Amino acid sequence: MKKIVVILALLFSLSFFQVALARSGIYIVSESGWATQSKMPTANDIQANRVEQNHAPILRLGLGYLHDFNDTFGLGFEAAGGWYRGSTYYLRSDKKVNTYSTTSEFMAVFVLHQEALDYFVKVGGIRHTLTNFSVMVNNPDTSETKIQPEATVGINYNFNEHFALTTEYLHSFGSNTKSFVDNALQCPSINAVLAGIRIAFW
Amino acid sequence: MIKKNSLLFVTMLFSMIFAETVFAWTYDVSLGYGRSKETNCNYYQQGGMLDFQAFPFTKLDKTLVFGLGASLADWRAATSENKNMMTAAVSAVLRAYFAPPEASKFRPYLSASFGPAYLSSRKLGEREQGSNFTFQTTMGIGSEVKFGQKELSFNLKFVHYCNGGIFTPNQGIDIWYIFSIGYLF
Repeated sequence: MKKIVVILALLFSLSFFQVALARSGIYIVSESGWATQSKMPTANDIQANRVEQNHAPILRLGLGYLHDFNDTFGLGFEAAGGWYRGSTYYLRSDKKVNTYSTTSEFMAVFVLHQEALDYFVKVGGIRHTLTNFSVMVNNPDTSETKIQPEATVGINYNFNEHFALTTEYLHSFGSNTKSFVDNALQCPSINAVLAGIRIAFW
Repeated sequence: MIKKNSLLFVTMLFSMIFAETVFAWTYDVSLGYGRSKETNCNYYQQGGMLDFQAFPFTKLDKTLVFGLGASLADWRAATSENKNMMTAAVSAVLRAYFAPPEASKFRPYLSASFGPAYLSSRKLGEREQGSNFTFQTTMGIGSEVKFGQKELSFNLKFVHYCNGGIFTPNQGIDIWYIFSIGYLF
């Protein structure tokens, strides 16, 4: 009971937080959450016994700069690295293969400030490497790296000028990995729901 | 109306050119050396880069400055063919400090630049660009340090050449680690 009262008191104090926060400056963001890779082949497509989707753990670390034009609008740039768990394929040869995606992400950031909340959209490109897939389909010549468009939408909750909770939905626009064009592997789409901490240096 | 607009434009231009910067310095001349393995290839490339950056404008906000830059670079790939490429680029430059830089002797920053570049050769190592005209992007981290009356900058940056798909092929050329030392005046 005491814990609930403390939590409620904290939540109330946060909900009445109305200080205008100056936010221009360098920031870092560390997030984790849940992800899925769509357009991956089924077990039948690559002659595996079964396939398991692994949605976690995932990790995304970003470094960016936000420039506020006024108290409401900000524009920035963010570079991030991501590690997203993929699928486990149980092959007929009794081999088990874990696929995962590593990414380098470069995005423009558009922010709308409203009291302690920031609503943001990020749009840009992602360098997506899907590891272990080409080995699994016995085609080591295929490139596992592709450049894809990417977009995210999310909200920050600012505790003060430096610390914020952040949550966002991320989508990278991939291709269907069932198809191989000119011996090139197509990387899948990533859908991720992320939550984490954002620290602004100034 | 046109005359009024022209006057306004010229006034703005002059105010930008002669705006007093907040630093004791306006120019950064740096010399760097870089060596790294080409992305997804099995060879190294290395080279030097001479960079000139000017920051004659006022700051965009408390920690962000905008400037203009020009650079020359010479890159060499450890391959049997297409071993050498020289580049010349002009660029828009942003330098973002971790804290307001005034009155501090140690000023860490992030930097980025983007602009058109000319390549002396379309090929370097196993990578090929569809035209001699391309774009140069740099991203780096560094710090300005004051030693008595002198100010230096130390920078580690990444350089990427690509044409954004305007010409075919567009095989990006990357030099991942370039360490440079700059003199600020």
